[in-house]
Amino acid sequence: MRRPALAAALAVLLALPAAALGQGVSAPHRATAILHSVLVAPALIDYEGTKIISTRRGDRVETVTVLEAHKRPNRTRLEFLSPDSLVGRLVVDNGVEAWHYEPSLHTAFQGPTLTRPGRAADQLRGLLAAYGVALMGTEEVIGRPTFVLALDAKTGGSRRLMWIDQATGVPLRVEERRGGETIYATYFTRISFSLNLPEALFRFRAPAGARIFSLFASEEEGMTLEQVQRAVGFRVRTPAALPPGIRFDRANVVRYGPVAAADLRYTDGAAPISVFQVPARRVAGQEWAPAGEIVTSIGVSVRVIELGYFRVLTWEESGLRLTVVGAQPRRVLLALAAQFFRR
Amino acid sequence: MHHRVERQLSAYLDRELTPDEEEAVRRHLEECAPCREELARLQHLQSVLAGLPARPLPETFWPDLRRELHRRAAPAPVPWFSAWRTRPAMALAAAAVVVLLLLVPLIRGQIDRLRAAEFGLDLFVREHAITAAADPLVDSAYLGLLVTDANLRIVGARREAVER
Repeated sequence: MRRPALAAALAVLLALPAAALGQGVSAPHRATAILHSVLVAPALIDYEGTKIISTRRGDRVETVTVLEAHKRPNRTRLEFLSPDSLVGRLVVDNGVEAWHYEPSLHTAFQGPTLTRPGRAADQLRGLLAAYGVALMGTEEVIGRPTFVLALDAKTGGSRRLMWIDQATGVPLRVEERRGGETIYATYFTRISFSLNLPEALFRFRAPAGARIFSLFASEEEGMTLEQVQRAVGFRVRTPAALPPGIRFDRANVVRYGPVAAADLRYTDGAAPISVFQVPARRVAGQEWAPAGEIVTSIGVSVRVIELGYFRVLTWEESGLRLTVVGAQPRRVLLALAAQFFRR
Repeated sequence: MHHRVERQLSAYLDRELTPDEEEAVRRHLEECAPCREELARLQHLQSVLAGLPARPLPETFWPDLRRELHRRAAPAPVPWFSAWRTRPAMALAAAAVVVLLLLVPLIRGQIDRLRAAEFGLDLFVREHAITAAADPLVDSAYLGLLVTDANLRIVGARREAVER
């Protein structure tokens, strides 16, 4: 390694979880130290491997194979290998913007990065506020020793299990479970660390003749509610109160062509909840109409659509289409939605 | 979906859509009475046009046409810009053709953008998935899969359509 300071920092940070497992360190502290190693790993570790994603797609379970390469601090390349409908799909994220190339449509989509660099200490604080963290033990995954961490959402209903490589802090296997059902599971079937991955791997060049869609819909983040109202041109609804454990994060505008939607973002400390509002006449949402089910338990008809990891709640009210999207339990999202009726 | 299908009906009738787009239009038609009526109107128009009798040209048509073209070509050449004065309708038509030829790529690009510009719930899901990247523990490859699938739906395609 040519950077001795970085090497020293790496050695110290990676030694943290191992040291934390030693005698005299309490179990919660050990779990917290291991979680911290996961949060700092992307900035310190390069890797390349083959990952399997298993998730629900409609009424069936789909298995996806993807080549994943990561270059510190925040560059990612994903090449999808299977199933047939995904072969050749490419995602190149350079930490500033993400490109998605769809070979069969000969089309490239340019959009915002999917990497959000944040301070590990802040992220750790948020996670500890949202989850109960427990060290379940150690196991081997693809021949490498791992710590097994369980993160149980304090809002209830979901559990994340992570098999974390003891040497690097990289999760080698992740499972998200809700109500006993696995929403998605990912695991590496092989992985290589400390590679000097070429920069060119993380630069996207659109193939000749490819159509390009530029999809930067979200405007500048962190606007005040007044700024959002001015930008969208209608009165944005706000919740009367927030359910326990949910707090307001930021307001934003999503603009697409001539149409602007308000995007109020909430968080449970770890995962976001988005509440979009747009004049109902501007939404081409009929194709969703047969999907999901109608829930009336909060006094108004809300369509609830389960999308695997995310669930969507959508309804019309006073000429507005309100849409809540989040990964939280249905009752949490319904409780938030109910607060928007009370104004 | 309704507005998108409305624009695709003519192409649907002419079998110019991809199999997946065709299937999507077919499914929409099962549920949308106004679109079925519009399709019926287009089908009627097509059948009326197809039903017009083919009338044979008189044998003298082509020789007469060539003779007429030669006769018109005979006069002394006039500056091209004088066509605006001597044949204003033809000049305008020619100008319109040129403008149309220039605009076709722009219009086509605009149509692509229009297809992408329908403000549907897929866009909300995509925007939320991008926001969810702030969750430090969510799997980036899984998130990439969700966002890229949403990209396809936003431009009116679905993953099954691109299956080989």
